Amino acid sequence: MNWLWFHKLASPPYAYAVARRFRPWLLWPALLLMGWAAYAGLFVVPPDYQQKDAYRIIFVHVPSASMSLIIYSIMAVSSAIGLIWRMKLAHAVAAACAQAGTVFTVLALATGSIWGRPMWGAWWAWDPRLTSELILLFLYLGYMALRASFDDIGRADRACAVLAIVGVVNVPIIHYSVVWWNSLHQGTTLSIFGKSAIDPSMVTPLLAMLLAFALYFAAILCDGVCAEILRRERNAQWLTKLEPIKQGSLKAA
Amino acid sequence: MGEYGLYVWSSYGLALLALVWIGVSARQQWRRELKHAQRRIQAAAQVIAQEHRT
Amino acid sequence: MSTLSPFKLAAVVLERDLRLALRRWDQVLQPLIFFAVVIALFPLAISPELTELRRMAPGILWVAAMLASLLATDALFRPDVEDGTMEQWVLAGQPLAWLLLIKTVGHWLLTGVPLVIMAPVIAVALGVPTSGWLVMLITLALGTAVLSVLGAIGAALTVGLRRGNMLMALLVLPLEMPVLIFGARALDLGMQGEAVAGPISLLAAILLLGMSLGPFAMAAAIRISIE
Repeated sequence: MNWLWFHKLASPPYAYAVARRFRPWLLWPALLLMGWAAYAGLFVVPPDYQQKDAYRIIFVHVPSASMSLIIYSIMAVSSAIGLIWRMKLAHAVAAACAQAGTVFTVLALATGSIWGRPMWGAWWAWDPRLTSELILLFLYLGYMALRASFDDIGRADRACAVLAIVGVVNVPIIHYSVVWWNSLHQGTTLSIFGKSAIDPSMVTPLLAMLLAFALYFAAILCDGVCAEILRRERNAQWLTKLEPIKQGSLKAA
Repeated sequence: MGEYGLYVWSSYGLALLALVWIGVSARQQWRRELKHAQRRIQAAAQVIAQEHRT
Repeated sequence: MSTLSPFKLAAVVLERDLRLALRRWDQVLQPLIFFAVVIALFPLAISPELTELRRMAPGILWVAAMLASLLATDALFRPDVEDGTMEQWVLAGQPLAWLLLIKTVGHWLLTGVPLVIMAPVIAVALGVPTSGWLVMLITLALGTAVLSVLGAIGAALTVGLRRGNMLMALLVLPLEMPVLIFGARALDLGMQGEAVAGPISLLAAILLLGMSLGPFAMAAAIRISIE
């Protein structure tokens, strides 16, 4: 297989250009899909037999929880790539993931809590899945705190890479927590292969919203990675070829 | 939305807020770094222009 | 330069660490006293009734052990980094991961083992029945070892930072939470006389995982910290 594209991507100016070009292709489909999925989830899909309308929260809760795990995995994998192959770009990706990952984790916990109040009668429960998701939040926060405490970006990158890799053990714990322990939280209902335990009419908006969140995150990652590249390439020559930002315009340079 | 309206709408509202926040934040960071980079390049270019003259 | 066998190396490092520590034995005692003081806070804050304390004893023991371990971990790498010894070790050509693992073992001998020795006294203070003591000692021994390993990773990451102590705690505590859950659960089951093989095996498995992979994380972190 031709790996040339991968090696080209490792070059910061090439990656920068690619990110700038791809962003609109990720952002607008994401927003459209999000709009459709939200509309379908809120108005089209029929109410649940047991949970009535409260279950509609699932269409934001599950995607944000999934994203919190996916983003941490991306962070851990790029950290590993950055450490092993000493790729600055991989570290840039990891750094750009942190804030979005934290926000998705908070969103998952918050929407889960709001959902739990009418369903279980409590805002919070110390059950395995909720607790391990909370630990994930602490890991994200610790990651950002560690990054902020180094003056040198290179050292910050490598130290945070170690932390991200050490913490990745939490991701399978969260995912399988409902399988391994008796949990208050609902068990696995969605299956990629085979039949899902959830009503089919609910699966499409759910998967659509998840895809929308993923595309949206990819679009944001473009901006984040570009910022991180610029931060790491302070004195590089290729920067002189960047077009200046038009004043007051939101279009990409 | 039945009696759960408040819960559902606040969840979706929070989600919207969160998504807008990370989107805007990433955008701002990129533009800030771009501005810094261009300022530095301009400054460096000025220094070189100075040295050419002298 | 002659290469030492790993065991000879371990003996040298361990002997040095223990000798240095025992010269400042007051500093070795401090985390242990902290452990006792923290435990004493709970009866004062919650209730002096032994029946109530007995129920919470596993949690109290574990939280106090975690906090004491955190405090003690600051002294694990910092002195060696500050006086340049660590730099020599990184350059020495001996496997750094092994060296750091031995240092962690030494740290556990100085902080974890005394905690386990103190445990029976604490158990009496918290109303833990003697039937639960064996489980308590085993889980504390395994648990403090895991805490030492995790603490060492955090210490290695933050040793180069000026005020890294609080940050180290913030990084290490979330990683230690699963250990806390299993360890306290094991102790709780043991005190109730139920089967503890499951949680204890899990704890032992975590320890083995930590001891095998942790030193590599420590080595990578130390190299970054002393650049």
